[in-house]
Amino acid sequence: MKQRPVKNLGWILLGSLLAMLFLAPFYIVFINSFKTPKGIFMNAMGLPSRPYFTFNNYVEAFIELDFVRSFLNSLFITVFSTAIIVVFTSMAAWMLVRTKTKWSTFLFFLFAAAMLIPFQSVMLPLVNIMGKLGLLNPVGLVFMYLGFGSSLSVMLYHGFIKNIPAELEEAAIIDGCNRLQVFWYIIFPLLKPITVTVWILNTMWIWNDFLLPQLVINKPGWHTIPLKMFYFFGQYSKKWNLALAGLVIAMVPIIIFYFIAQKHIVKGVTQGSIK
Amino acid sequence: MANLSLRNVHKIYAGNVMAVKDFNLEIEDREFIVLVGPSGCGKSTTLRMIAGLEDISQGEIYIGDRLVNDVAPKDRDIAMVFQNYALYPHMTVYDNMAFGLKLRKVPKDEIDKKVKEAAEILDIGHLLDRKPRALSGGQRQRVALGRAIVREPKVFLMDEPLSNLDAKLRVQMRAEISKLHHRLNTTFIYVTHDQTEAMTMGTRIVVMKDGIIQQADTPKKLYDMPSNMFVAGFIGSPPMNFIRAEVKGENDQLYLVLDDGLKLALSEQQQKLLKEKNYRNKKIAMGIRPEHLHDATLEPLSKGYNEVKTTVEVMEMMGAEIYLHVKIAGIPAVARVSSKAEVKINQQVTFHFHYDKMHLFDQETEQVIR
Repeated sequence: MKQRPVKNLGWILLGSLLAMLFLAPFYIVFINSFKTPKGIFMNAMGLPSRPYFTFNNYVEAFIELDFVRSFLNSLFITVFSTAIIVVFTSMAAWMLVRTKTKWSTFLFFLFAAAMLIPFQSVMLPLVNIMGKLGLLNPVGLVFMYLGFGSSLSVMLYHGFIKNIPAELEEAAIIDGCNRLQVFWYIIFPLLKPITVTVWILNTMWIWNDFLLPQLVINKPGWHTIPLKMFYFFGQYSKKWNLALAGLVIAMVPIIIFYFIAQKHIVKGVTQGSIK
Repeated sequence: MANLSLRNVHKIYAGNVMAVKDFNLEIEDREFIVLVGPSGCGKSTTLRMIAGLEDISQGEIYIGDRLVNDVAPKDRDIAMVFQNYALYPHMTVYDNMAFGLKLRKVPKDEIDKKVKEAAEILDIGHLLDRKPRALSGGQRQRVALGRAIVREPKVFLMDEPLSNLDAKLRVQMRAEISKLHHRLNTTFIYVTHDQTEAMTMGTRIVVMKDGIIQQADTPKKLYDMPSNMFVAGFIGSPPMNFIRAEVKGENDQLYLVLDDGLKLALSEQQQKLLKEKNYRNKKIAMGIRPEHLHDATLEPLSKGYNEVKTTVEVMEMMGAEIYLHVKIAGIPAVARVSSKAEVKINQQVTFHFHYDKMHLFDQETEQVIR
């Protein structure tokens, strides 16, 4: 093939520009997290330099965020919500695919339609009802996430399960599986690639979610990281230095999670293509 | 090992679609039954009803002496091999074969023994650690068979297990499945649309069409004495030639007249039959198999034969024999002659055929006249 260096150079430049554009916020957050407030306001874009350089932001942010506790809160809510979403929506999608009645089609469209309803339009009645049920706590929150997360997850699973031949299930039934065993031993392991996708999408969203926990969780002891972050932004003063250090701390777990999960996504995609 | 009994079995789908109609069959222990027919004839549905994967709309199915209509598939003591193998993609070959036994809580060392035995029979011992996607089609087929063997079922069900293999492998696996049947000494029920598979493997063949059994018999009887035109045309390759004819006769002597006026003589017995059934002056269909049309120059017949003269239109060289495409009384027909025959396209040939090789069918009911 003929190389066209000029054209390639153009693409590389464009790509670099885009990459810089996307990475800029991370750069700003990261470098400013090492500056004193004065340092930030004097030169927001430059690298931290001697008199204004500090590690203290991290120590203070860690303490102010009550990081261990809020991290565990976030972790609890995210892990349980995503686990329940994965289990419930994969089963629901499986039944919707394998049951061919008017009702299953109707239910499927109901799931799809639910995606079109904006969260903001249902949040107040939702909080009202959940309050009456005494579910304005982390456990209630997990169920609310199941409700909000299931539409997209059911759709994703539905599309994937359609391509699994029904003979596999019949073979398992003849081998001696009951319904639940067919699901756990045969179907669920095959869903791994899409499960990872569903899991990542929901984890990202729930881990970073601010509005719903803000409405639901009123005990400070149960505050998640995004809720705690809000304390850095008071009505009259904004502690930028602590907020940025806090953001870096908060980003680390989710980025680590993403890189671990990403490997599985790539693996899953190639597995599917060989079939 | 068990005998099977299907009594008045019907399958009716939503919208009153009759997939299987009044299916009656007694299957003896250790038989190799082949259900054969064109697609949509209900053969797979019948097999799936035996497996318990489809509900039985009407009628009864017995395995051994037990009525199994409402017995779950896993409790019917059957094993099934699917057309696309249906191997569990995320399990190794070993786990695929062991899965059914694990579910039945068979002790580990016993599972190990059975899986290894089956692997040895099928010559897949070296593949036990592989995943199905790392196997060729033929190997996958063996694993699917292995999964059925380890269960030691009373009845083996196979749903077109060879149709995804290439032609050469299919012939090889055909022989292996037959061998397996002898070795395991169990009842096999095998579904296929391929009449060659049916003829070569079955101890008894059930020919189906539109959900109805056309004939259930041994391969030999099915071939020699088809009970209607469908069976006659379906079994045998190339298929039987059918030629319209009218039964005519003066005095006591009956004979056939073809559309082009050619007269064909009949055997005493055939004449008697046609007389008894009142076919004089009626149209019938005469069937003659391609191999019963003998090239008169190469292998002339001596006694009790008819003669037709025709022109060769197409020649198909098959190696040991040649298929000659001709027209008899304006109707396309095929003759199967030895490759020693010296014929050319557009050349005149004369065929001899014995009276008693002619099959006589009623034109309307398509049933054999007997």
